[in-house]
Amino acid sequence: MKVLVVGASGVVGASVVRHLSAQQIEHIGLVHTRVPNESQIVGDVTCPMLGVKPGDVQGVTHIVYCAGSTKFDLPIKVSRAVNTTPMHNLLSLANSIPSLQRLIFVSTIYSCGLQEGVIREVRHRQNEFANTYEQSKLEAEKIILNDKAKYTLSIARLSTIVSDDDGNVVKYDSIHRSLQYLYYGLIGVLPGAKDVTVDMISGDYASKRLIQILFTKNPKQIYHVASGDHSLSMDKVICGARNIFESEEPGWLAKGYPEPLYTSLNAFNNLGESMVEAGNIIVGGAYRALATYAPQISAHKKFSTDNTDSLGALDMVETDLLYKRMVHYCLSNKWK
Amino acid sequence: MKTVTKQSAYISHLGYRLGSTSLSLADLDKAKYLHSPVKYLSSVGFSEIHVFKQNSEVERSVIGLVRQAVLVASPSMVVYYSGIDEVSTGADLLDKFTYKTSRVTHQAGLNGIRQISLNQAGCSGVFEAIDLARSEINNGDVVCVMSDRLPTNSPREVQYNVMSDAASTVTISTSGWLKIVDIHTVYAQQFWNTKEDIEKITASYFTFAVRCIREAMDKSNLELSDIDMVIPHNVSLKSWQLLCQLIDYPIEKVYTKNISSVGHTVSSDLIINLHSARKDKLLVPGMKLLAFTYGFGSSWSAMVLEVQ
Repeated sequence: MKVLVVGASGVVGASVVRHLSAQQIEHIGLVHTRVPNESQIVGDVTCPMLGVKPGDVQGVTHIVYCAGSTKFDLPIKVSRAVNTTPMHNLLSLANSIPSLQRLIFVSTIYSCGLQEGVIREVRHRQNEFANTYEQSKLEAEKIILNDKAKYTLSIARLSTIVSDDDGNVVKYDSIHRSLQYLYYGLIGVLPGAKDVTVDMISGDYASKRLIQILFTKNPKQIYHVASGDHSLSMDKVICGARNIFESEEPGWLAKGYPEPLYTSLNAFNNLGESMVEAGNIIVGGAYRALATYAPQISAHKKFSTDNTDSLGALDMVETDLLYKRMVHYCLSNKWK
Repeated sequence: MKTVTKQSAYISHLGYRLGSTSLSLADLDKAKYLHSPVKYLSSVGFSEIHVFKQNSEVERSVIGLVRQAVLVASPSMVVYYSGIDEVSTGADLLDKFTYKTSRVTHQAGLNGIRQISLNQAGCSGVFEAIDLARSEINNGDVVCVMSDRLPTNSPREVQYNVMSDAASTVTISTSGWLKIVDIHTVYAQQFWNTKEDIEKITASYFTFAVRCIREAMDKSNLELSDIDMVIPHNVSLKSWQLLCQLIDYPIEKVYTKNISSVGHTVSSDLIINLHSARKDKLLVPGMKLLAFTYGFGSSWSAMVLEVQ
């Protein structure tokens, strides 16, 4: 067995590589800009065959494709260029590897767009999206699912990775920045409701599940690697963070920043846009950090994980503990 | 034990004066009194403001207003609120010991009556003054006096709002044309340092505003749908549109007429707008009104009123 990890220097890819190493599974990582180490090769997902030489991937039996951009605010053209069209390059490379048995494309649970209710591990139809990232990922899924491959092919839709199991954050993104704005008392209004659930997982959990999917005997087509039933309510996310701020920095609650008011997405957007129009870069900035994923946290949805659960139990840090660790990490490092 | 029966309080008389010098947004921009572009301020509802050129103009206005109030009331007390601290310019130490509340009371011919001076409630001052006054009406009418003049040559925009100078009076009595059903204030003293906390205040403005209004409705056993008209403070029309969306109240029922032509005064918006709505014959007996304001310092105040 030899695993090719495409996007090995990213948050998910690097974690997958670590877990493959820990399980002593032979692997090579495809990286873009970094100077490669001995287990890495340089490539470019926007180039034919991902920019790799056939000799570099000789004997590869499994591919995990984790490359792409998770930026929510890219223009759709740019998002497609890095997340969607490289699928053709991936498939042409995969089809050129005679030893290939399985390919996993890493997508997002939010490829469902603004769909509400229970989100099942099935193909999604075209929908409206909260951001271009979601749209480009669904379009990529369609290319993958339409391929007539000789090898087995699965899509692993990952939830939001907030940290590793210990709460360490590799890269601060919108959710971490939003917590930072909350900490500084700059979020007074939130879209949605207290009981809307927020799905989140650790990078370690995602990697362990991806490796399970790689080697399972009877792979399904689509998996949700998500906290599912264990996701946290918005109330727990917000109050949990406020309580951690207080326990880590006694006196924080006495600063008197109010618990955010929940309102409709439309009212939230109007409020935020008015701050931006007024030229308020601080409160407007807090709004912008939230705006790209606001539609997702204002809609009631729950991600079904039946296919993933069928892979068998896996040690998973409880979501509320993971969240506490992550907030603690952000606070201890002051988001730096 | 003496039992004191709390009487219902009413507004029996209103009066106001705006600064005599009118300035358009373009005038203010030319004089570099604005932070935001004229186009933006115009888009959020402002058009012109009114300025007292000198302190003597404020003084004359206040005396005139109190004399008018006295013509229709028998005050036992004067409550004077001024949101802008005046700095004495005299060189002598005794210049620091001149008192405008005493001067106004004296010049209005009210020597000997009780007087109280308030400050430090920002734009919520009139609500504080009325709240204090209504607890004192067992002894007679109370004339509340408000006056605010921004310092000469100071900027005229405060956090996206354009500011006028004004003086006003409101008389609180045991009878009148407007019953004060309740006054509810949410205090957030943690934001005492406005300059340092301005972004936190901006971020939490609507959160506290919604809370204040909801609590005021609960205290009065009313639903917002029972409110026939909202009497606003004259901050930007945009902020009222946003607040209305948050509380699910139609903006058409907010009396926004004076935002454009008057702008925001520190403490006289309520008086100006009630006076104006009454003059426009929009207030008919039985109507329930909700007045609302925010004051730096920080407090959010809501007052439920019923037209008699």
